[in-house]
Amino acid sequence: MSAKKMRGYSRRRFLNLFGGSIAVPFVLGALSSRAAGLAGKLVMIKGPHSADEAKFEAEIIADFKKGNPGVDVEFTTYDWANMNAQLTAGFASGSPPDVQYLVDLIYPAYAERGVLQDMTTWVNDPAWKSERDAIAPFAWSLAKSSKGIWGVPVLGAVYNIFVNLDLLNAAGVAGTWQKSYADMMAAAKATTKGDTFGVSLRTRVSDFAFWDWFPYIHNAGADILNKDWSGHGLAGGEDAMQFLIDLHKAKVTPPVGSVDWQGQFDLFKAGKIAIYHGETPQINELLASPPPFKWDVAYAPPGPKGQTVMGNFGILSIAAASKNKDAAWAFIKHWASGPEVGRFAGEVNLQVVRTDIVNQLYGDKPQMQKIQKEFVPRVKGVQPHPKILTMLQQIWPVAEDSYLGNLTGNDAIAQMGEIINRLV
Amino acid sequence: MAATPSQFSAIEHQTRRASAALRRDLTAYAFLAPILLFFIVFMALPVVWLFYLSFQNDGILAPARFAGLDNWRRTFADRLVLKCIGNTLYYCLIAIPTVFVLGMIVALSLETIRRGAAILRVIIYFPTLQASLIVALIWTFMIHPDFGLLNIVIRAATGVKMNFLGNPASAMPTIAMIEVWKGLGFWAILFLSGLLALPLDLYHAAELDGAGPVRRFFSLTLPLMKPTFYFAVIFATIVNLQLFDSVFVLTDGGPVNSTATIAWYIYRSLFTFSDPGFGATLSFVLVIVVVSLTALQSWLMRARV
Amino acid sequence: MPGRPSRLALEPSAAARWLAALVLIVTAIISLAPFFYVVSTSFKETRSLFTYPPHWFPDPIYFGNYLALFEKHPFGWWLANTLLVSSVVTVLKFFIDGMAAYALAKLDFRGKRLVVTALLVSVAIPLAALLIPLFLIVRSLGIIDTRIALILPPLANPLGVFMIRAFIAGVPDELIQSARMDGAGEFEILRRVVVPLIRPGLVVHATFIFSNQYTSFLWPLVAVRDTQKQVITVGISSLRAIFTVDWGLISAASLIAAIPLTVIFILFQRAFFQQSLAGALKE
Repeated sequence: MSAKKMRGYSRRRFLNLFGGSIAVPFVLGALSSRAAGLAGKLVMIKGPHSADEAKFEAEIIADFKKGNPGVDVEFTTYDWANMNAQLTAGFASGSPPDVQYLVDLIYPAYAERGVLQDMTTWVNDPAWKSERDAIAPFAWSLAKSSKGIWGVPVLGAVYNIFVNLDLLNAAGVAGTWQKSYADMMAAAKATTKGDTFGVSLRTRVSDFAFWDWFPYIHNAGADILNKDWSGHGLAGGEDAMQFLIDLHKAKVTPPVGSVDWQGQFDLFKAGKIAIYHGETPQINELLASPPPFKWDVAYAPPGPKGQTVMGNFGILSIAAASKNKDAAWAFIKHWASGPEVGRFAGEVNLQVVRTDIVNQLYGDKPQMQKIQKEFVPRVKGVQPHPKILTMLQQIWPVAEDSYLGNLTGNDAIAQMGEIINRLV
Repeated sequence: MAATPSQFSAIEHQTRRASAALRRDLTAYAFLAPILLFFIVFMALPVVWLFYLSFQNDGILAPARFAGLDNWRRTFADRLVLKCIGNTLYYCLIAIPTVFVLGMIVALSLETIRRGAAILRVIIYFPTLQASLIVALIWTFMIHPDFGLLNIVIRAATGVKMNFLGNPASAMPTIAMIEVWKGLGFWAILFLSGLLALPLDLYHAAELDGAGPVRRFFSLTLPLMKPTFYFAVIFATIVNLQLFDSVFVLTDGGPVNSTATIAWYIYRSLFTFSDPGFGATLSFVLVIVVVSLTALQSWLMRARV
Repeated sequence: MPGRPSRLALEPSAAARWLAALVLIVTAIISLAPFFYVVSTSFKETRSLFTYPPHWFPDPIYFGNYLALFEKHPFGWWLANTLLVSSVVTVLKFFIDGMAAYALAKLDFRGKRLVVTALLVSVAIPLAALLIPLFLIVRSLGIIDTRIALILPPLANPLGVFMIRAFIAGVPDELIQSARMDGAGEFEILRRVVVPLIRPGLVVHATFIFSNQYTSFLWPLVAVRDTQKQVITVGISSLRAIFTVDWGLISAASLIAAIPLTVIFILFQRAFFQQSLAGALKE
């Protein structure tokens, strides 16, 4: 080609490229200004996961404001111990917080009463597909019912076991305790001496003791409700129940109800418990003030039908009475996005339900990484029935009674089943 | 000269009396107006609404669905309701006499001592001023099996570690002990104020008659304190039948529902169970229990006078 | 209390005084000793309630908990709100309950039975049951999430009325009758005749109302959401994060919260005993 033609050609290309590169920001600007067209006020409510909760939320809100300067987000908390009273009052007021962090135990009751916004259309929006798929399927199943999708799952806490490796090694059972229930019992007996106990599990109602009980029931293929939620599904859990009863009978645990969960953790930190049923955020404390022994995280031995881990999860929901639902949805998407939820989870030591960021989290905390990668996939959570919390709280006294030695596993399961059937 | 009745006809008499009665009623209601105003708005109206709610399902978050006598029937069929009533009465039976006897002893002692009494009064009243959360914290420490003060003492005496809140048999008495500790100051001060108001001349006379302090206590002090005790029993019953705070913070009804009180079950039904109709019904059950018990007490105490 | 004639034989015997002193010292120890661990914990940096073995004395002494209360949380607001609300309620209740109690104790009027029964029965209704309807009413009045919402509903509680009524019942009817015959209006009688005689009772009432209001929890929890308008009990409860309870922080908070209440109590008690001393001397 002649030099002149070449110059013209490249000039045109240059102009095209140049024009294009001007156009792109314009188009982007137009698009984002449509998003930035979101305005108004949002109130978000959540229970505190750390003493610095407000600070961490402020970080998330600041990032959100960069893309949505027209939206004012106010963050407020509820008190975990009184969460039901505060949330119910909020809904009853007619102007509840727009975005609410609800745990799996309580959101179904609110959903059933129609105070939560069904988010199906938003969640299934093709533009959000890649984000939606990044969240594990089991988490989505916790957030939906036959009538809709009630929130975006974001965080979880796994109820893992902590083991005192020194105690287990001294008794020679470190390698075997996790093989079967019988082995766990033997290990517990071998490590119980003096004021040291082999095992501890929660027993008090006020400690939500059923979380420690669940994996054993799930490992037997049982659950609170049966497959179609028409009745109880505890059949098959008798042996698991009996095992737990036997643990208490064998006096390898602190006397039933004598110490609360925090007290058990204190005992573990002092080296007085070999196998402690705890939860992941406690890892933070163990790392901050390392105990005088080697420890690790673990899950319960396998049962006849599986080896599961228990966890409980929280979703971000929108109040049906919210007046700014579009902004609320935008904020939820932002909160649940990889960088935001990942940073928050790292700050408060909780698990995420996104599968795409697991490798970038908890860089300096191998136990948290282990739990995120090995335990979370094994999680079998609660069934999100509107009366699930009621059922759990009403059956727990039966468990307490059996731990005290007044009921056998069969009796306990039978009584629990009756209570559940009456409530369904 | 003052008007004599004969100066008025029978009709004039009646009108005079009627207008006097009206004036009297108006005065009385003028005195009652403030409390009645607030009472109607903030107490009576909610109670009426609560009564309406007891015949519905839901009604707080979801729209109410008429349920007829369903809630009431469930109340009578629910075994936990009976257990709650039993627990609450058991608690009152242990706590009230204990705190009265101890309170009276402390009140008498405060009255006897002159120097230093002011500081002692403040110290003794201090527990009453605390909020439930901190009382729970304090007592979690006190009853801890290994390092709790109480268990240290008990272990020194008997070599056994007591499981205060874990044992269904001892849980309610433990809560009673905590509430007695908390309430002692209040009752001591109340009884003290009653003691200080007693007329001295009767005591001088009794002393002159040769009655010793013990005799004076039983024949003079106790009978003269009747109005104070009368009020105290009713007040204590009403307040203690509504026991909730300690149970909520310490045991949440456990173990095995041995500390489940009526007020606790009401709170549970309303918020955790999201069963407001049932909670409303239970509230009226509590009212019935309280009213019956206080009426019974009134009758018994009046009979003694 | 110098020179006050005692009811017990003008002068209690030495034995009686020793016994009383013993009782009081034991009671004081039982009342106060449990707080020792709270005080100790408030000066520790630890978050656990117990360490094994327990450190009875903080070492080193840590003031961070107390600082954190004011730096990280609106603790000052909580205290101020609680004092404001409690004081206003106590003052208002003084008038409201006092007047109502006088009417119930010394006036006869039509409908008295009904009023007494209604007030008496309502005392039996647990606050938990009234939370939601009260909330809805307060919201419809447009005062939800304000301090007014904390002040108005407690004014309806009739418990104080019955307390003062019991004290007024002890005032002899003859005094009232003679005042009436002297031409005094009922309000004047209440003010000039009754109130001076029941001063100790009024102080008991004020103490009760004030401390009740100061420690009330459920209603402020539900009625107020703005943390700056919140009261101290709800504030302290909110210091609990979900998994770890910072006992050091909560201990510090509870101790500071107890100070204003204790000071007010001391002032009330001085008034109480000043009056009863004056009353006894008048005799």
